[in-house]
Amino acid sequence: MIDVNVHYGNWPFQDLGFKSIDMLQKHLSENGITKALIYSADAIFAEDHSIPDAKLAAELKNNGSFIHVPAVNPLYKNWMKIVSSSKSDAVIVYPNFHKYELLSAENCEMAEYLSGHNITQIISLRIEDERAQHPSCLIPRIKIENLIEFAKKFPELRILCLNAYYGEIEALLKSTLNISVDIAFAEKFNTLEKLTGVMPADRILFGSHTPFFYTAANICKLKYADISSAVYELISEKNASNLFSKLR
Amino acid sequence: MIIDIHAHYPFGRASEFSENNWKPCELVKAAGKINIVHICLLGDVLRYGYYPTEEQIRETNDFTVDCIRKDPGHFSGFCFLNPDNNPEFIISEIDRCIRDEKCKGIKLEVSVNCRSPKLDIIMEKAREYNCPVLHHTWYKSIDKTEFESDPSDIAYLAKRHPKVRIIMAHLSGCGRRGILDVKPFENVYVDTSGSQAVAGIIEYAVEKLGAARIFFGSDAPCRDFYTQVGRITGADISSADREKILFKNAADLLNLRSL
Repeated sequence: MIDVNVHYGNWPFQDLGFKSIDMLQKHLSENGITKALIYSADAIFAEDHSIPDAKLAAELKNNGSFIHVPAVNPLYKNWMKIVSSSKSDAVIVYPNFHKYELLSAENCEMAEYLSGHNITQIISLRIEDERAQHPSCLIPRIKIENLIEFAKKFPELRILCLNAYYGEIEALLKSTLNISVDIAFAEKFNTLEKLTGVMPADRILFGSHTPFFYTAANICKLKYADISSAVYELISEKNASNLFSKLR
Repeated sequence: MIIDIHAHYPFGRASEFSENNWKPCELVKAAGKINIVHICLLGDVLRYGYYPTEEQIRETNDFTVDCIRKDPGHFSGFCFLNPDNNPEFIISEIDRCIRDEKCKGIKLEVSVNCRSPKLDIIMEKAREYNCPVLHHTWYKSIDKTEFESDPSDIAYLAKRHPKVRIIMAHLSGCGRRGILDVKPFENVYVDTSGSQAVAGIIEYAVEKLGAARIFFGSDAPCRDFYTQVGRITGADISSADREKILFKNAADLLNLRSL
């Protein structure tokens, strides 16, 4: 199983456990996850996010199972250097944490570059349920209609949206063909049976949002879903390896 | 085996369901896949908005009672109430549901904050029938409804009614602060239903409250049975504590040891 939604590091509002990469890898492995995209949790609030990312990249240098994906902020002048020196074919952005719009001139300039260089832009819609946020740190929602407009503006750009709610997922997948989603935050009665009943499964990826969430929660969401083995394979592995060459 | 203390039934008005279109069976089928053998139905609590009338309360409870009658092996039920309704109606509805129709508890939502003295007659009836009161609870930074109760309100209610068992719903929504609010009150329990599968909260609740005060709940069909069970099976707790949370506590509460 490939997990496209794993963070490592520290978060001011939750003890994320896993004091080492080895611990995290062991935990994922015990849950049947053999490969994962890893993002730095520290990079989200760090003033210079390249520092925690460089540290994480160094720790994962010889790790064949974890692919480190660096954070970029198009408002910072160093985004192109980060993109070009990254070993993955993806970058992750946190627009609502970093206070810019997806349709801003800066993000559009970066999207043009990513699109032209076959690099996937991973957009984290949220880290926490908005209702549960610390009252002194309320991060606004990304407007789905803006995200859709952005995706349509760059039809050649591959986009993976992490942590979308079920209703958002339906809107995103219906809107354009260059958006993929993960399942971490999606939940309703018989989640995946319902979702794959109205959407083709080829742009739905397994994401656990470990260590913010219990890994087993999303494992069970997939494992017990009333879906065909072909759909299970797409969600658990094939869609991720199709989207990210480093996961093949 | 697992008992789910907090579920509702699929959306729809009671009058839409016939013998051939009895949707609660969807719950049973889905639940059975992950070994949930018994489900406690709390009513379609938001079907008529936040402030249901007496007629709407009665209709909601009619359907719960119908489910229990048709399939008592799989369903228990709680009596859903709006404390703002006429007190005479509230008392008669509790008598009807608990005494006559064998509902096992009372469910309260967001119509009235639980600090209100309007809850007193409900709590006194709960004490009379020795049945628990399951109360929607949440600490929300945004989207809080007008009279929605949070754990500090539950603590206030628990202190005023120490002989009544209160189940504080939605553990992840209540958070660590909520657990600390209710920790001193032995008559307060928590259910794990709803919200996101935030890591670490189950372990924290076991440490602070003890596993005997925690019930598994799913909040299905608003939520996914499998995700909600996964947050318990994925928690770093003992198998004995896991069994208490998933089965034993609810079996004792609902008198379902025969399962």
